[in-house]
Amino acid sequence: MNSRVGMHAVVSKPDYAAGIARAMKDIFANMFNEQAGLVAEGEIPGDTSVSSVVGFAGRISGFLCLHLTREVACGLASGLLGMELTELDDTVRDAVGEIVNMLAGGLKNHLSHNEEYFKISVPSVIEGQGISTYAPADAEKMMFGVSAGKYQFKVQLVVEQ
Amino acid sequence: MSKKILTIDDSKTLRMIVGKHLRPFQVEILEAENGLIGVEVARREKPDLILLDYNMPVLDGYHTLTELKTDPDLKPIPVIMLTTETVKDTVMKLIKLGLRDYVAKPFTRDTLLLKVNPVLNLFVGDTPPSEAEVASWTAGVQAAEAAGKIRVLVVDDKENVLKILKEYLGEAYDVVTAETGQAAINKLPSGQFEWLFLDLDLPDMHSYQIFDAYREAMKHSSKKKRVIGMSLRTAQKEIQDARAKGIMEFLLKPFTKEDVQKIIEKGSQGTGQQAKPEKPAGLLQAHGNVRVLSCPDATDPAYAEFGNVLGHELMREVGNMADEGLNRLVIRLTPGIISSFPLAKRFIGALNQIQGLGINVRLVADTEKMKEWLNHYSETKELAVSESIESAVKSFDEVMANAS
Repeated sequence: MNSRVGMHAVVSKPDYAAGIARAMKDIFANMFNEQAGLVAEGEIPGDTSVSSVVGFAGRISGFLCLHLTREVACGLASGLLGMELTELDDTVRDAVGEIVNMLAGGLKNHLSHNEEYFKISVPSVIEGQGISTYAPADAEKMMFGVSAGKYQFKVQLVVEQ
Repeated sequence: MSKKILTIDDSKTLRMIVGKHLRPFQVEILEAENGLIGVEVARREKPDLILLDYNMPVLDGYHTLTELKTDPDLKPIPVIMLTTETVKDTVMKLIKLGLRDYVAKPFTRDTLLLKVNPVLNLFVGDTPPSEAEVASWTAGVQAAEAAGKIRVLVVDDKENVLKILKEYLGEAYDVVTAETGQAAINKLPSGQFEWLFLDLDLPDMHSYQIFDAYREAMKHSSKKKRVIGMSLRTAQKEIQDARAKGIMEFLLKPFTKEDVQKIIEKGSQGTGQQAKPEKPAGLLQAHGNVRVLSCPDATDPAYAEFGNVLGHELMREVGNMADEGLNRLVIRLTPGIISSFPLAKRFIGALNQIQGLGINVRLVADTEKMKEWLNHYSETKELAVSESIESAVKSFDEVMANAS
């Protein structure tokens, strides 16, 4: 597994996982002063009802999505902005959108050499429980658990090469 | 007038984070949610710095930067990109367009401050002040302003001097003291102190480092700035060197209350030599952001006194120029200057000091003899030489245009 993946190489699941882990670690160290790490999806408690997603297209295409409980969404926004936020309002939605945007940027930097590997869309936030996502059968589908101090949530990555 | 920073980012979160980190420095934060609005705000408000996102709807960072850098009015405004895009190709493309720097997201408060500080001079040194320190500065400035007091920084390693000066300055002044050079540097956030009383013989660092840091910190401040060198009466060499450096007022030790009052009165009346002139004084003429010194020729009535003028008077004006944040000087030579050895020697000495202040100099010499003369001196042979003041002034603009 390389720290950066060549432009023409097929990216493996461990490469994606390493990119997600590294980007997540950077986000939490720089913006929250917390240590973050990947854990098994099953270790993340609670029903998620907030999903923050960015799409990407280029040498790989797909989407990256954070699945959060309302409490974690509000907690992340509070931590990022340094203010107490308890309602799922536009400020919280924007904050979780920014986190997934930074995560996608970190993954992109991990996968790209000098050239741009893929382009990232602007983030969207979806609210509701039990949402399902569709992806073509040959797409790689990954789900990671993230634990960072008091924050725990899931990260879904779907890619087609 | 506070500095203006325009944040162009579709993420309200990022705009709020930028505001949270920079607003305590008493800067005005302007916001735009996309590039199209951002360019409009930039045209209207002429900010001192633009922080620009890359991934945005309506007009993305690349096209916004293109708009900004192709508009002659907006082109000089430094742009720093706040971006997750750190792919080399993308960054190179942006730098070619005129991007000043970029901050990779995610970023810490310190990273952001270190990137914007070269443009905004929010603090002195390489370590950003903590949030508590900034809050304390702000509280100090606000309390002094509310009480109608003028802020003074006194730097001296002798506790007794600090105590006496504080007492002599009296109630009208909010006196902050520092016993070491480093302590003084730490107390020098942008635009805080109108007066600096500076011991010229500090044990831990050269006083000129503090003088330079003060000028840097006050570069964009509209407040008056006065530096008083404190020295022993007998230390004539030290005083002479300080004058050459640009410190023009002195409080000689031991001093009385009357000595301090005289210094204060002189400065308060606007005759303090470090006081910022409303416009360039007689010696230096303004050509936009460039200052021009026209040396007199032998037939000029000013020629006889020009040797003296090349000393303190010129350095005072150059010091004021640097205080205004200007660093471009054109000097027009005349045959009369190079034909007199003492005058030529003084000119070279003055040129040395001017360059020591970080001023960029272009020379105007319109005869072959003068150009040949310039090649004899190491101080002048590397300098750009033009045939007219206009072309020298223009050459500064060309360098700026090429650089951006």
